[in-house]
Amino acid sequence: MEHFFVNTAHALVAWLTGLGLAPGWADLILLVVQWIAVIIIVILNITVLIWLERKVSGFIQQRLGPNRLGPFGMFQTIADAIKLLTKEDIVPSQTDRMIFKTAPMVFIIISVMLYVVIPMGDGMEIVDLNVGLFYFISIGSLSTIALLMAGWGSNNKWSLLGGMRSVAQMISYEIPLAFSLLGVVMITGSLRMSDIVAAQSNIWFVVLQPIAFITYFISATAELNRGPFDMPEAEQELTSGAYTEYTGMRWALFFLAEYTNLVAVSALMATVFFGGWQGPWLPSWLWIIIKTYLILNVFFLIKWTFPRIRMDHLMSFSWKFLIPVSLANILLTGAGIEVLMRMGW
Amino acid sequence: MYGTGLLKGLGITLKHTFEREITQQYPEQMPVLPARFRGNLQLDFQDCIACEMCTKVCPNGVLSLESVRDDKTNKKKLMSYSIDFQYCMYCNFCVENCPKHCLHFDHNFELAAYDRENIKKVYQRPQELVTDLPEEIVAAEEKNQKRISVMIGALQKDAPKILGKLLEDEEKGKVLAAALASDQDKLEKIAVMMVEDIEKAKKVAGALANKAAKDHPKEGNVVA
Repeated sequence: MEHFFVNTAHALVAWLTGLGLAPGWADLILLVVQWIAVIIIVILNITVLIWLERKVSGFIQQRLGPNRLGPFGMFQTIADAIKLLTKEDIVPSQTDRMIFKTAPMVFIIISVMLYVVIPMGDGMEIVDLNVGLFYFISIGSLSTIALLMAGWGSNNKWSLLGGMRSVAQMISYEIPLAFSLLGVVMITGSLRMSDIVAAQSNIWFVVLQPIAFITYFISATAELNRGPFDMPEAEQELTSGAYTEYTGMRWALFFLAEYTNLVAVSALMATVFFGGWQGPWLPSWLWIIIKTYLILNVFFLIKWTFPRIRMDHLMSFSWKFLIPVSLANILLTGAGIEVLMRMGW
Repeated sequence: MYGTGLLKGLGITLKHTFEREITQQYPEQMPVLPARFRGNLQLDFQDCIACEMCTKVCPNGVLSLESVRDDKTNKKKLMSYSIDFQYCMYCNFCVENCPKHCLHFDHNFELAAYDRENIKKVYQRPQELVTDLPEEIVAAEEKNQKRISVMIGALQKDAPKILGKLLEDEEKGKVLAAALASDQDKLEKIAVMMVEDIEKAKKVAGALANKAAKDHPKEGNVVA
């Protein structure tokens, strides 16, 4: 079981080269297969995730959550998806059509791109980049553009406000996010995901870098635009923020992208702070799934516990608290590493 | 310390996550109602002495009753009791005022109906109680029933003529008869009305005839 997916991939490549295909082409086909696999995982995952979030939020509020369609209401999301697909696709007349239509696509493409570097198991990265973590952060910050496009293209005050909020918020939280991951990178000495996982074979980085973990968790929540930092959406203030003018499947694509981002960030958190795919007894790909889902549940719990904070508080929290703290953490980590090295570790 | 409140909040939601749900799955799971819940108003027909305390106290005119006086015992006997529930505001005055405690609210709250008529509840004197009414009333009632059945028979036999006479307009009578031919229920209702209250029957029949003429205009009469 452990190497099921890796072996399947190797077998596929061997079969293709056996058919007389050049190794380069076989690798390319494997890449396509991996991409399709990622997209299937993303789409299947979101049906489960939306159901899970609704169920968890129901339990938190002592409700039952969806329970009518299928066992435990599991098919509710499928029914919702069918509803969204059959809805009229409205493009308001005064929108910037090009930008309006591309924004959801850009968002979903960016969020799927995040999965390239996440190790889904032992040797199960699609590409094991030597700047994996850097790639993740830089691609992750691109989703700002999608939200700004949606906000600008909609030609609607609420949408524009939502888009601008998302830019302000995501750029501000980008800094503590990157700085908090720097502590881990300093210990590992590498940006490669497999190195980071391998460095945690003895002890998880959440123990070595608790401050980095907390700052990362907070800024990741803000980066994902999730409650209590869901300022760009902010139903009660901006109707639906950047998504106000979107209907049907276009709107659903934003949702899909947001959940895809959520899973990616949770998987990264599991990889960087919780030992990645490492774990006893169970196969590695199951371990990362378990860890990711546990982290997701914490995200759900946080979203359904805290009220949305005010925009200016959000900004000052980032600039006046998170950034100094993450900088101090880098200093502390550097000093610690220096001291330990002098002591002869 | 900063953040303790946040942790406390998370603890509370986490605790609630594993507590029992308080949702009641209504149609499958009926709510447990308190003993004095006011649902549907019920009458114990046998106990009612037709004192009209309830109809007098009702602020919305929900209740009305018909009674006859038995000359032998000089006591009123309830003939019918109707509750037009759409106007009830559940003030409980009727229940409090009933000297015989024969009105009470039950626990049935599913009172929605498709028609206003179906909201109104009419208690007719039960058959087994009819016999202890004064003789002349029983006789009158029997006679009435007979006249109604005769009228229904006549209407079924030759509706256009009778209805034409009722409306004092043969043409209208024909139209109405044609419209009612497929609607036995309405025909019977008109028959009852013709026996009990000819003026009302005229009005209703006139309205129905007009409606029928409007819905099915003859080819010659169509207004462009």
